[in-house]
Amino acid sequence: MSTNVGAVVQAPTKARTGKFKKSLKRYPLVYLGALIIVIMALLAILAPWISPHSPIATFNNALSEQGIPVGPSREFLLGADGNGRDVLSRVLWGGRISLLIGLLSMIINLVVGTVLGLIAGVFGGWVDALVMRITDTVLAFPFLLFALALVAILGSSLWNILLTIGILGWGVMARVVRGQVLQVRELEYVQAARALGATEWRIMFRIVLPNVFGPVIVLSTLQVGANILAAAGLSYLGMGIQPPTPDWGGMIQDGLTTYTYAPWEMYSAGIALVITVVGFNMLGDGLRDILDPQSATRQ
Amino acid sequence: MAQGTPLLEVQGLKKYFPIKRGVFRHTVGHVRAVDGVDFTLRAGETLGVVGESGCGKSTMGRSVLRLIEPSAGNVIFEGKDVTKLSKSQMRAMRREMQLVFQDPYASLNPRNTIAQTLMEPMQIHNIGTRSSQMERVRSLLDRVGLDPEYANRYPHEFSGGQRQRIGIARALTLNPKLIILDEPVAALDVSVQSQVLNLLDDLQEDFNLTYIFVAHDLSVVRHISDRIMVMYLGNMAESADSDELFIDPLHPYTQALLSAVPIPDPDAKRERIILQGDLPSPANPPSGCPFHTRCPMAMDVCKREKPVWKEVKPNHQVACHLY
Amino acid sequence: MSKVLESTDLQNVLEVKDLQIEFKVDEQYYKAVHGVNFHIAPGETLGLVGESGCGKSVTSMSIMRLLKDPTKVSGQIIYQGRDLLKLTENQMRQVRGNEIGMIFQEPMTSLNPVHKIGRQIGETLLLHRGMSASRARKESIEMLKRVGIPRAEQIVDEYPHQLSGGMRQRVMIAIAMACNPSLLIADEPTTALDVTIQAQILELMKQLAKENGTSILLITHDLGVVAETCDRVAVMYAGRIVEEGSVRKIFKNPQHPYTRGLLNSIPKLTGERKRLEPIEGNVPSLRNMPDGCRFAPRCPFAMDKCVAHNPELFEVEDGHRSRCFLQEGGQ
Repeated sequence: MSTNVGAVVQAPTKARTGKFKKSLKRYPLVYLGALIIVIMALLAILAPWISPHSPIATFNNALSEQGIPVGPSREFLLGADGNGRDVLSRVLWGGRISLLIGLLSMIINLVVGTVLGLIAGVFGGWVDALVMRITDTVLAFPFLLFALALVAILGSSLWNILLTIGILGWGVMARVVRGQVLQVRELEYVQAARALGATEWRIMFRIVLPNVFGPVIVLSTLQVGANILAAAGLSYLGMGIQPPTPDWGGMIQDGLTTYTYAPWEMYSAGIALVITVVGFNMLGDGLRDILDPQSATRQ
Repeated sequence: MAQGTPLLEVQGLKKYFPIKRGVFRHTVGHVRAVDGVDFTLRAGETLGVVGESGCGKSTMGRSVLRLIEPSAGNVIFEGKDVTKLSKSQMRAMRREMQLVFQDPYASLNPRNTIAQTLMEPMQIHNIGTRSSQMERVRSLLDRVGLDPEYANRYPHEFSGGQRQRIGIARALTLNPKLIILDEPVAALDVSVQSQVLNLLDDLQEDFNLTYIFVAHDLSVVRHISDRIMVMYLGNMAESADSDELFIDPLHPYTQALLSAVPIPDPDAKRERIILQGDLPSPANPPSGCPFHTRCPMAMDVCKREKPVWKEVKPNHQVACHLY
Repeated sequence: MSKVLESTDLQNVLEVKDLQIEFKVDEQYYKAVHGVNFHIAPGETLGLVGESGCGKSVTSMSIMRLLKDPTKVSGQIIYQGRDLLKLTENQMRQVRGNEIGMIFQEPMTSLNPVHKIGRQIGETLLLHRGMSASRARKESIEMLKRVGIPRAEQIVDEYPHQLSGGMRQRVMIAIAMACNPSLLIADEPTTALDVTIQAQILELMKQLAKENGTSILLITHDLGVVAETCDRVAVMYAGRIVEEGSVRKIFKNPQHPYTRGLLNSIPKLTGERKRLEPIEGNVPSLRNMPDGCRFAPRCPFAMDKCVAHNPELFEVEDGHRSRCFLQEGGQ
C-alpha cells in the first residue's frame, strides 16, 4: 500500500540467499512445482523452434508397409502416430494449446468468481442469497456433461472451449471469495477502521481485498491444472480441439486406437499432461502452506 | 474530578438481536443483549461497566458508538443525538468518540506497519500532509511510551502490552473527547496490566478524556472508575460512585460478585456468597427481575414484577425490590 | 527405574527434579524451562504462578508427557517412586487419567463435541477400571452428582454444546476425578469462566480434594486464586522458579523483587485507590533470554552481579526460598 512511510526492509540483502535456501528447505513443493511449470511453459512457447518436425505433417517413412507407426527412433524421438506424424512435435505443440486453455479459462474463472464472490460478500442480504443460489446451481451440474452440451451447441473452437470451461468453473472461487470477505469483515481491526470513520469502500479495497488475494492465488493455481484436465477430457470425448491441431487430450484418445501396437503416442501425451497438472497442484498446495497464516508450518 | 455539563447522555438504550430460523430466515425471537440502559457522563469522568460474559456490556459500548446499530434509545453527545445522524455525519462524529479493543492481536492489521495503522485515521479524515501525519505518529508513539523508531515495524514484532499501547495511540490520533475501552487489559499479563492502566490514567489527565471502561475484573474497574455500573443480563442492576459501591453494595448480585473475587491475601476472611446455577439465556430472560433465578434473597414479587431503577442513597441507584 | 530412591521421594506424590524443556523453533532449540525443581506432598495443593511464557503450562504438560516432538525434555519427574520420563508409552497411558487427572483451561474445546457426556466420563472408567458399560454409566451419573451437576440422569445423555461453560468445566472435573487420581493437574481451570462461576469451581475442587486426599498442581496467573486455594506456591519467571514457599510466606513476606512487583502491581479491592506500581518492561521472549538473572533487566534492585550470574535459590526461612542475590546468605 502506501510506501511513503519509508522502506520497511528489515533483512539486509546479504541474508537473501540464506533466506532463499531456508524457504526452499521449508517449502520444497513450491519450488519444484514452479520449476515444472516453467519448463513446461518454455517447451510450449519454444515449440515452433525446438520441435523437430511440423506437428501436422505426415511422413511416409513414419509408417511401416503395413501402416503401423514406427517406434522411437533417431528421426522420430518419441515415435510416430497412426497418421504418420511426429509424436514429439505434437506433444510440444499440444502443450501450447493445453496451457493456453488452462490459463485463459482460469482467468475467466478468476474474474467471474471474484466479482460475484465480492458482490455476495459485500452486499449481503438478498443479493448474497441470489448470487450464492446461482453458484450452487452451477456447482450442482455435472461439469463434463454440461460442458459437452455447451460445446456441442457452440461448436468446438479453441475459444468456445476455453469460454465454456471458464464459465462453468468459477463456482468454487466465488464461494471462497465470499467466505473470506465475510470472515475478514468481522475481524477486529476492520471494526477498528469502521470506528475511525472509514467508509465501506475504503474497508473493501484497503483491507478486505488484500486478504482475499492469498486464497484466490492458491485456488487459481489449482484451477489451471483442473482446467487443463477438463480440456483434455473434452478432447478425449471428441468435443475438444479438432484434428489435425494437436492437444494432449486428443492425442490420448487418438493414441488409444493404436495402443496395442504403438503405445508411445498415448504415453507421451499422458505423461506430459500428468506432469503439468501435478506441477500446478504442487505449486498451489505449496502456496497454500505459505499464504495461510493458520498453517502449522508457519509460526 | 467530575464537573460541568454532561458530555454524554444515554437514555433507554436497547439492542435486540433478531434470532432467525428456517429457509426464509424469519425472525423467531430476539436476544435482548441490552435492555434499557441510562446514564450520564461528564467530561473527564470515567464510567466503569462491569458484569459477567453475556451481560451486554460490550454491546452497550458499541451501541453508543453505533458500531452496532441500537434498537431503541438516544445517545446524546454534546447535545447532539448520535442515533439520529446520517451515515456521513456519523463518520465525522467518529473523530470525537473512539474505541480501544480487548485483543491487541486481532485489533491491529498484521499487513500494515505501525505508522500505516496510526496514519490511517488521519487519512480517512483528510488531516494534514504525509510529513505532518508522520510527525503526529512519532509524537503519539512517544506519548504512549513506545520508541518512535518503531514506527516502521509490523505488529507481530511487538508484545501484547506494546500492541495495546499502539491500539490506544490509534484511538488518540484524532483527539477524541470520549474513549470506550472494551476490556483493554483483560488479555495482558498481570505485570503489564498495571503499566497500561497507569498510561490510561495519565492520558485522561493530560487530554481531559472521558472514558467508558468496560471490564469483568472488579479490582481493575474499581481502580480506574469514578462511577461504576453493574449490568446483569442486559439490565442495569446497580450504579454508584466507585468507592461507595465497594463499601456498601446494595444489589444482591453486586454483593455476590464482590464476594466472589479472589483476593491475593491468604488472611482475608470474608463471607463468600456462592451463586447457584448459570446465567440465564438473554434470548429467554426470566420474568420479573432478571436475577431472581439465582438470587439468594428472591421474593415472590421478584418473579412477577421487574424492579424499577431508583435512587436509594444520594448518587446510588439500584434496581431491586429489597429497596 | 530400579534406582535407589531417596527417602523424600517416597513421601511426595510428585517430585520434579532439574526439569529442562527445549522447543525447536526454526531449526534451533530454545530452553523454555530451565532446571525446575518442586515437589507435592499427599493432599497438598501447590500453585505454579507466572505470566504467559514463563513455562508453567509446559511444565504441567511435560508431567503428563503430552509434549510433542521435537521438544526435548530432560530431568526427572518422579511420581509415586517412578520416573515418568522413563516409562513406555503404554505404561504412561495407564498413568494418564487413572493416576493423574488433568483439567484444561478451555472447557469448550477440551470435551469431544461428538460424544455424549456419559460416554466421555465412562471412557476413563472402561479403560482403566475395566468396568462394564452399565456400571460405568451408573458411576458417571454418580460423578456428575458429586461435581454438583443438577439433573445428572439427563445430562449423561446430553452433548457438550448443550451445557454452559461452568457446567462443562464441572464435567471436565468429573472426568479427571472419575478414577480417583492421587494427583490432579489443573491448568488455568477457571480463567475462561466468570467470577461467580469461578468461585463455584474453585470451591468444588477444594472440596473434592479434601474428600479424596487428592494432591493438586494448580497452574494459574491469578494471584487471588492462588491465595485462596493453595497451600504452597512456586512463582515462575522466564523458565525458572524464582521463589517458593507457603502461601502465607509468599503473600505476607515476599522476597523476590518479581513476586513483590507482581503483588504491588495488581489493583486492590479495598482501601485507598492509589497509582499502581507496575513492573517496567516486558516478559522476555524465548529467543532472547537475558544472561544471568532473567529478571535483572526489569528489576529495580539489579546489581552488576545480577547481569553476569544466575542466582541460586537461597533459603530465606524454613521452606521459603528465593532466587535473588539480595537474599544471598539468608536474611
